[in-house]
Amino acid sequence: MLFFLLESFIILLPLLGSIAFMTLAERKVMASMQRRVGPNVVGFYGTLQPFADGLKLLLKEAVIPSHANKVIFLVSPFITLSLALMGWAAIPFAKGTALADLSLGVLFLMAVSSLGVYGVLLAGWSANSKYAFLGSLRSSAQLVSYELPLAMVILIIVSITGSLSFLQIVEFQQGVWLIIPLLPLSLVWFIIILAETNRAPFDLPESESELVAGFMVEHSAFPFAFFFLGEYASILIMSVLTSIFFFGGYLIPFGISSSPFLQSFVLGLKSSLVFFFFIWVRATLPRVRFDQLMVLCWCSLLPLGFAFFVLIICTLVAFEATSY
Amino acid sequence: MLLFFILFVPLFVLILLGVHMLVATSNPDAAKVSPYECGMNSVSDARQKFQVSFFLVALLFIVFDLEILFLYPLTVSLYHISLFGFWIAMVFILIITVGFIYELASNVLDYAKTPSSKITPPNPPRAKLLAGIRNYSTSSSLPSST
Repeated sequence: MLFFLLESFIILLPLLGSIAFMTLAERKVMASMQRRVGPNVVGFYGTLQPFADGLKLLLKEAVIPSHANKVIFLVSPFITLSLALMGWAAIPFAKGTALADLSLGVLFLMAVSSLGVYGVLLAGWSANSKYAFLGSLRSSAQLVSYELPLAMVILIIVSITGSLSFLQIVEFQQGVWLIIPLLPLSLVWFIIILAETNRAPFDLPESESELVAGFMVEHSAFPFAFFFLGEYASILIMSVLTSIFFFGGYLIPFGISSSPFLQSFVLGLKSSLVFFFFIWVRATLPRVRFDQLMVLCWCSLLPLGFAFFVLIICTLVAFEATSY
Repeated sequence: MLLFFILFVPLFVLILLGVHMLVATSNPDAAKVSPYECGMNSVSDARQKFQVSFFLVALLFIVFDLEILFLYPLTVSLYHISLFGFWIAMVFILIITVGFIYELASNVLDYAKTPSSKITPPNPPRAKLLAGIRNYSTSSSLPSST
């Protein structure tokens, strides 16, 4: 029991720490891209800024609106953060170093991440504010729509590797990283992960100029921080998934074998680069319109996903590929 | 281990929320807890009618998500089923495609061409729009005065 507790904390505490530094990294990188300094007062070059923010949010008053459905209002951020943290159980950090090495890990992660839409939906509905309501409508429509192409891309990867286990998907890429045979698909994937995590240029649920902060406009202090942490945890999980699916996970290129410590370091490095891509896109691209977003998903990405799926399984069958 | 983690994470989040409830100040007043509406008093309940496209997207999502769910067993057994199984899958995808083309043709997903926007003119004049807002605010203040 104590061992289980320790193991859970070994996952959770570094995760929350890395989320804290991700927010700092985002502010610093965006500041550099816009020729500003960014946070530089708290700690050495602003390194303690996220902890100061966290403490401030801890001590602030949590305002619960009088018209709100109070139980659901508090339960929705709780659901969001719990589900975002739960998905980490299946991620292999190095060879044989996962909390639970599930043979159906991909399905587990898909199930947990698709439940996340409930947090958004309940938050917007329970707040009983028009901005929150519209924001949650948009956000849930966007999340469920982009889940379909996301699932299609994952299906294609699973059909190539022939396994739903993350470990086997990574081990499959010993020969070649999947980004090389699947480059067009990886571009689709990059678009989808931006939309699925509600990031710019698809951050319509929280477009400040129209909806103030979208579905979380009424949430303050720690309930707001829960949404914030959940969002960044899902960004991080998408970064790690990208490196597992397309960049060979914890593998070092050219088949160099290494210790588990180095392997997890390599996975972290790859994921950080993907996260840098998230920030880069946010600082570069303007926001799209909502109908453009939906048309892009349903009329471009989804048919493309299906077509690519047919192409891949036909290729596999035609060349009589065998399981790894 | 997985079960423990799944049970422990909500507990951990709950403890965080509990700590916040203990430390944070709490002195709500009427203005603070009123629904946020950019400084104005809120005029009506937030749970209003919304555009039907959102509902249609949800319906389409259910259909497509089920179809994708049916493809998961295919992907993991692709190396074990024979050519017969492969052709069954192809027929399945063909049927999905026919349905998808029907959906696209019926303009369900096209937000700009929904029936609601056909009734109203595409670009209502500015003055008319302002008058509409004014009417709305006066009519909503009527019940409180009477």
